[in-house]
Amino acid sequence: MLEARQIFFEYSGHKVLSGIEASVEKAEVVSIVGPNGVGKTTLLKCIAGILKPTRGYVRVEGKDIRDMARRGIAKQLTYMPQSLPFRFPVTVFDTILSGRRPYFAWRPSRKDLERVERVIEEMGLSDLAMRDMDQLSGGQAQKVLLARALVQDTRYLLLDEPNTGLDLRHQLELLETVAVLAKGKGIGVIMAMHDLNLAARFSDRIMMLHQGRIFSTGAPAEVITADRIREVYGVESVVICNNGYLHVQVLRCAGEENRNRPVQTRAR
Amino acid sequence: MPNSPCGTDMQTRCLTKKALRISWQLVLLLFLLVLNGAALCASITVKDSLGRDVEVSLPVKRVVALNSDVLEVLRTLKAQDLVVGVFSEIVREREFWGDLVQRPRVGSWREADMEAIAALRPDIVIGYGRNPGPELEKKMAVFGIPVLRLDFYKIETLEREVMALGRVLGREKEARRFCDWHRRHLEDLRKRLERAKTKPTVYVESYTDYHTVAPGSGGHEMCVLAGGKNIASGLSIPYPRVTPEWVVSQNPEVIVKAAAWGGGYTLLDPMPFNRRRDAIMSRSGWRHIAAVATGRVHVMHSAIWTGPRAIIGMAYLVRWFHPNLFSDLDPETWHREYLEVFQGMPYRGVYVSEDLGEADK
Amino acid sequence: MKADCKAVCRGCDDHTCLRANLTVGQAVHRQVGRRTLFLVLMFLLMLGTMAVGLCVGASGMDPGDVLVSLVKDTGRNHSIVWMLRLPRILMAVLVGFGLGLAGSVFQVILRNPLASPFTLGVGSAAGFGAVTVIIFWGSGCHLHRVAGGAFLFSLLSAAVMIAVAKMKRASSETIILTGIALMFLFSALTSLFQYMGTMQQVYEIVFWFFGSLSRAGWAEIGVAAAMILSPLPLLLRSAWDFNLLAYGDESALALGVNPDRLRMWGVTAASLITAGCICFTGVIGFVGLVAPHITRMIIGNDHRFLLPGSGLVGAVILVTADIGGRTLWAPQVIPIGIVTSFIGVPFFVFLLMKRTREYW
Repeated sequence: MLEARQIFFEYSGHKVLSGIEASVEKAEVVSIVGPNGVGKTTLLKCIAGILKPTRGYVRVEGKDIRDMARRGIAKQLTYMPQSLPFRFPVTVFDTILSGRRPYFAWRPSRKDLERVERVIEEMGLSDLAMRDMDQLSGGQAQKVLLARALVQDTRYLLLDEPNTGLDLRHQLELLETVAVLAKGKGIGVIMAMHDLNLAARFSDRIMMLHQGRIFSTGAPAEVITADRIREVYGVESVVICNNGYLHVQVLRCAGEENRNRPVQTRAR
Repeated sequence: MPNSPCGTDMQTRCLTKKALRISWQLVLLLFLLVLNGAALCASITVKDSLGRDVEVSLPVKRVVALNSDVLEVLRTLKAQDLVVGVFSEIVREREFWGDLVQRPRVGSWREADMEAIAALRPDIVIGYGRNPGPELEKKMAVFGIPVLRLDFYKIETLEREVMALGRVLGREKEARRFCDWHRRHLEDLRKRLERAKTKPTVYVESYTDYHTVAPGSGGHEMCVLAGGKNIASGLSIPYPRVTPEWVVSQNPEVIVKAAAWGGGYTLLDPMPFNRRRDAIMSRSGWRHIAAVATGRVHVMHSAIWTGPRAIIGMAYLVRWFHPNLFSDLDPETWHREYLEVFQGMPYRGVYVSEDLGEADK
Repeated sequence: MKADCKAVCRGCDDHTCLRANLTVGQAVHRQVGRRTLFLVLMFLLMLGTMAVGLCVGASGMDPGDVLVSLVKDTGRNHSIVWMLRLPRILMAVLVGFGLGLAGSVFQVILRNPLASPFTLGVGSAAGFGAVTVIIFWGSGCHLHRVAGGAFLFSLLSAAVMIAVAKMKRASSETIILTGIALMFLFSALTSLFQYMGTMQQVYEIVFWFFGSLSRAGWAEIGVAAAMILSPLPLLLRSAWDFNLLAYGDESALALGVNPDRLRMWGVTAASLITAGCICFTGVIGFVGLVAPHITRMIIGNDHRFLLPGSGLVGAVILVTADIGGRTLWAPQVIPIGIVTSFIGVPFFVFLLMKRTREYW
C-alpha cells in the first residue's frame, strides 16, 4: 500500500494542502479531482517525493520515503508529469529508455532495451520510435511520456492529468491501458484528473479536493453528485447514469440565471 | 623757458640736442619693445617622433613629463626645475628620482589624467609617440597646451630628439653636451666594429617569452648597430612571436634577453638576471643551441635596453658579440659617466647577468 | 514493426532508403553503431592530425627525419621532436579535449547553447590569477607561479559558484547569474591591475590572454593530464544523468536523479578541467563553444557519445589550429586563440547550412 498521511504543504506563507490523507492499494485506481489550482499536482508531487511536504509523511509498503534513497523511491513509484517542460531533439526510444534509469548504472542492459521495445510495441509507437521528441504532436508526446512511466516497472503509478492533449480515442486507449495494468499486473494508480466523466468511469475511488482539503472521498457514484459539483466547481449540473456509465452534464455557472444565450447545449 | 642756461640761438641748439636725445631714447625704446614683443610671441617648430611638426610657444617654463624616458632626458638637459607634473609610476623608483617624486602626479604613461595636467597649467606636455592616445592632443588643445611626442628609444634618432627638446627648453648647451658624449661613444663603437670580420647570429628575446625583435623595433636596430646578425631580420612585424623549435633550428651564437625587475638602480646583486639566464639555458632542447652550449646567454635590464641609455646597452651588446675586440671596453664606466654627469646621481645598481666566463674567475 | 527509415538515415533526404524493414531494436542498434563509428573516426582523425603536426615545424625536417628521430637519438632533431614538437602536440590534444568536454558539460547543465567553459567566469578568474602573479610577484622564470595563480583563482570562482548554489538552489538560472557576475568582477579587476602595470607587464598579460602552446613541457603535460582526464570516468558515468536533465527537474527527480547535485558536480568537474586547460596555455576561446555543437549536429544529444565526442572534436580543432598558427605565417606564430576562431567559424557555418533540422 502507498499511503500519504496528514500532508500539509505551504510555500511563501501560502497554504496549498491541509491535512490530506490519501492511499492506494495494489490493483486499485484512485482519481484526484478538483478545480484548477486546488493542489492536485502538488499532492501528487508530495507523494512522489518530488516536493517535501511541510508536515506529514508518505509510506510505501510501510517504509517512509524520507528514509529511502532517491533511486530506491524511483523503483517503487513512478511519477508521470503533465508534460515535458522543453522538447529536445532526443529520440522517442531514448526518452522511453530513460525510464529504466533507476535500474542501470553505466549503461542499459539487454533486458532494459527489450523492455523498452516491448512497451513501444504495445503502445503502438513503433513508427515513431526513432523520431525526435520535438517533432511529435502533443498527443504523441503524451503517449511517449506514459510509455516512459510504464517501463519504469514500479508497483505504483502517479499520473498527472495523463490525457492532456489527447483526442477522444487516445484518451480512452490510454486510460484503458492504465486500467488493464492495474487489474492485470496489480499496480496501484493515483491519477489527477480534470475530466470527471473519465475519472468516474475508470476509477475505483475518487478524492475530491476543495480549498486544499479533502472535500469528499469514496466510490465515484458517491462523490460525484450535483451538490458537490456545485460547491466545489461552482457549476450547476445534472448527474446521469447512462449505459452503466456515470455522466455529468454541465448546465451553467452556479448563481447565474439562464439568460437566453443563442449558443450550444441542446442538440437538435 | 626763462631760466634756461642757454641763450636764444643756444636755446635752439639745446632744443635740437634734447630732441635728438629724446628721439634716440624713443628709437631705443621702440627697438627694445619690438625685441621684447618678438620674444613674447616667439615660438619654435620641432618635428616629433611621429614626423609631425609641432609648434611650441616660448619660453617654456612649466613641463609635464608622462614617462621615465622623458624625465631622464629632462634631467640630462638640467631642466628638472621646469618639471611641474610627473607620471604616477615614478614611485616605483624613488631612489633614482630623488625629490622629483614629490612633484604632482598626472597619470600613467598610457592614460594621462587630463584634469590634473590642465590644473598645473603647463606650457608643454611630453610623452611617447603612441601612448597616451591622440585624445591627449584634443583635450590639451582646449587649454592651448601643446603636446610633444618624443620616443627617445631608437639610437639613430635619439640625438635629434634630444636636440629638439633642448631647443624647445632653451637648453641647447646641455643638449649639445649630451649629444657630443653620445656621438663620441657611438663613433668609438663604430670604429672598433670596422675591425670585426664576422657578425655573430643573435636571438634577441623581448620581455615576453618567445617574442623577438624584428625590423621596425628599437631592439633590432640595437642588435644590428652592435654588429650582430638578428636571426629574426626576415620577419615582418616588429615584435613577432616565434616557436622554440625555430630558435633551435636557427642555432644562434648569442642569446640576449631583455628583462625588467623594478628599477635596476636599487638592485644589489645580479641573481635575478642570472636566474633568468639559467632558465633560458635549461629550456627543453635548447642545449643544442650554440649560444647555450658556449654559455653566451645574457640578460639585460630594460633601463639600458632602448631608451636614452641605449648606448650603454649597446656597449654591453658589442662586448658580448665581439669579446675579442672589446675586452678593454667597460660599459660600467660609461654608465657611471652618464649617471654622475648627466643625471647627477651616484652610480649604483645591477643591469646585466654575469658572463658565464666570469663566474669562473 | 517498421521503423521510420528517414529518421534512421539522419541527414539523408532520400526517401528511397532501402532499409525500410528494420525492427525498432535493429534501428536502435544501427544508431548506436553509427555513433560509435563517429567516435572511432574522430579518434583516428585526431591521431592523423597529430601525425601531421609532428611532421610540420620551423626546422624543416621531412617526415622521414621525424620518424628516425622518434626512435633514435640523433642529437638536435631528436630533441626537437621529443622536447618541442611532441609536448606541444600532446598539450594541444589535452587542452582541446578538455575544452570540448567541459563545454559540452556546461551546455547541458546550463541548458544554454551559448555556454562555453568561459561563460561562468572561470576563464576570467584564471586570467585574473595570472595577472595578479605577473604584476605583484613577477613571472620571471617561474612560469609555474603564473599557472598556479591561474589555477587557484579558477577554483576559487568555481567554489563561490557552488557555495551560492548551495545557499539558494542550484538551478541553471542561479548558476548562470552567479557565473556571469563573477566573470564581470574578475574582468574588471584584471583590467584594473593591467592598468597599474608597467609596459613590460602589460605586454606579458596581453600575450597570456592570447593563449600559447609554447610553454608546454613534459612536466606540464603530466599535471594537465591529471587535471583534465581524472574527472572523465565519472563524467562518463553521469552521462545518462545529463541526458535526464533534458526532461526537466521533475522528471529527473522522478527517475531517481537529484538535478541540483548533478549540476553542482558537473560544474565542479568542468571547472576543474577548464582550470587545468587555462593555467598552462592561457585563454583559448571558441573551441569549448563550437566542439559540442559540431558533435551534436552529427550524432545527436546522447551524452554517452556527446561528451567524449566533443572532447575528440575539440582536440582535432586545437591541433589543426596549432598547425595553422605555426605554418601559415612561418616562422612567426599566430597566437592560437586567434586561429581557433578562424577555424571554428567557417566549419560551424558550413554545418549550419547543411543541417536538416534543429539540433538544439
